[in-house]
Amino acid sequence: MSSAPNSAILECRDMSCLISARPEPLRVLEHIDFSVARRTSLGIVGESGAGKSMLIKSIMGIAPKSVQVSGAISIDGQDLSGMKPKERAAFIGRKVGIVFQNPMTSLNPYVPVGRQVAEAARRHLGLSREAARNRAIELLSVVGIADAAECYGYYPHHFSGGMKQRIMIAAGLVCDPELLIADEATTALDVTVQKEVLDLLQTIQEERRMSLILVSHNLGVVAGRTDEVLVLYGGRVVEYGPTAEVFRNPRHRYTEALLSAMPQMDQPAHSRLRTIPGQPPSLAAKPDGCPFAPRCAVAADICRRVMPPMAVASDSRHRFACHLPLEAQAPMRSPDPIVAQGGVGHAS
Amino acid sequence: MTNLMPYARAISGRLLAGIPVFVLVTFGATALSSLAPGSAAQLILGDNATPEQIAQLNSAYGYDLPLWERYLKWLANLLRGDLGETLFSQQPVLQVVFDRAAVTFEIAFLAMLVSLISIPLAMFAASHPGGMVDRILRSVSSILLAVPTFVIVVLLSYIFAIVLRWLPATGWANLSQNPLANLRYVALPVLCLSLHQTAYLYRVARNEMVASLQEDFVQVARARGLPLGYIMFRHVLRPSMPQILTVMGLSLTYMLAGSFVVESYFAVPGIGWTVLTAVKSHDIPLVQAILSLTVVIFVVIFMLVDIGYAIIDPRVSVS
Repeated sequence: MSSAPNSAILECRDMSCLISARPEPLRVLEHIDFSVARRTSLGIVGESGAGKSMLIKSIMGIAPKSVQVSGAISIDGQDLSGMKPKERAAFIGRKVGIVFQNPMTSLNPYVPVGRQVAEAARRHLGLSREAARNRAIELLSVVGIADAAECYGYYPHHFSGGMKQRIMIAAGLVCDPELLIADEATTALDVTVQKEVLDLLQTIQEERRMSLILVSHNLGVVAGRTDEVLVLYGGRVVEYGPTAEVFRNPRHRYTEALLSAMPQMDQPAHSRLRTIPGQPPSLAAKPDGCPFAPRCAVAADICRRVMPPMAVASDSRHRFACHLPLEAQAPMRSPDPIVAQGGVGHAS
Repeated sequence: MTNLMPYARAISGRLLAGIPVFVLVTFGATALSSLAPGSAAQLILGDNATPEQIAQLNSAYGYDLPLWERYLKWLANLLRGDLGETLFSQQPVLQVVFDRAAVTFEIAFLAMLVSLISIPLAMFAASHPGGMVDRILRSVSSILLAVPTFVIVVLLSYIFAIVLRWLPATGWANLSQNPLANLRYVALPVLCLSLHQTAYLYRVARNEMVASLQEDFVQVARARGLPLGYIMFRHVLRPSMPQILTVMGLSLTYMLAGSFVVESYFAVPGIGWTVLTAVKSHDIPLVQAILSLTVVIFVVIFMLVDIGYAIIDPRVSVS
């Protein structure tokens, strides 16, 4: 398959996910539009239930059968909808590496880790057992496993959580993918290990000239590590643009509320954290208008009735869906990754 | 598995742990004869026995001795490998028990093999849950589980022996003397014994595999674009094995201990049938020997299952 060199590595056009239910289908994701350029990184942030995982699963073709995915997804210039399921799975497996949230359960406890790293290479690259083994050992050492050759035959329970996640990254890299997706890849790890794994992902992305998608509920994970950021709320893209720009100059009320909910280093001790009142909308009772309207401090009548269209900021790559956006030159905010620990919606 | 020491230690440990169980059960079996009204000799010889006959039997088998002495004597005899003769056929007890046990083992082993067919079926059904095959097999296995063995026995022998005349209805040929005839005689008992086990094993394996398919590592494997068939073999079968193994162990004990229905119906000279006739004819030495053998078998089977866990699951150590 030829790949168009200038096309984006991943492109989602008007993607929606529905779960059939009565009286009407649940709209998990609606009209998702984004693309990831080659060798760039995208952060996807949102609260639990915003649809992050469903978005990734739908792209990877592993959403549950009950979910209907519509819209166009193309990877490396190839439209996935035209492919047969088996062909499509193999294509995605070769082009996209993925690292999931929980390293404790993402590795099969009954299979030696090396084999789990090597298996996709045998299948997709047609490597011999020996070649796949060597490749797995090489990648295990790339991700920082000492004595990789010896560790090849060890079982997952011999490794710590951080080590397991490194092994998962090695497995994600084994087919030399052009895109690596880290779906909450550091959420289950403790803070120092989290930083190591994020640094590793970043280094690998740069060295291997891949694209990277970092999915997180934690703004700190995405800040300073990604070129662009996509803010999901209630199954919709509410803001999307260059990371530095979005963090410095948020236009959507939700993004702004999220940023203010992050604890700052310069806040006096014992000062109250700002939180966002209320709960994210449930799938069954999603408002017709802006999904954030029920929690928004400035929501007007129109916000509750009409879904705001995507507006384009002066910087044409920065887009947001808000009827009453913040002014373009909001005060400077620190995109400093040191504030890393403000979990979205969990600041309390 | 290069180092077999832990296994050797585990096996000897389990066997040692089995000794108290063995003592308890065999002592119980010895005591059983004392629980019967009158003396054991009275029970064996019936109401018309003369006092001389009773005295003779008592001295021959030691039924007039105190219970503990009788038990110790029995144990000593066991260690010498001579448990005396059966009361009625006057054959060496151990000889009879081993001959009959071989027959039951053959049937149970073959039935076990037949029931293994449920595992590939379960793999297929689990990989397409809710599909046609899954639904059909679920109904079939429910029906098989609901029908009691004695009905299955009658039904199958009616179909295969009387209507189709493919297989003999009853009888037996020794495996060592005439293997082909043995196969014909063994077919119906094996089929009857395995149907329940197959259905049960199928249900456990299918549910276990459906559960394993929900595991994160299966999602990961699917996201890597690995084909479902490969995932079933590499990532689903083994995590489901401990459950399957547990059921297989229980099935085997069930088939060894519960073989008397099938054996007596088909007149197969196995231990199930033998113990039944021995109980009916108050052949106490024979009953006692069979009980003891059963305990040993159970201990060994459970030990093998435990060792199986350690082989299957790298997180379980044998010791």
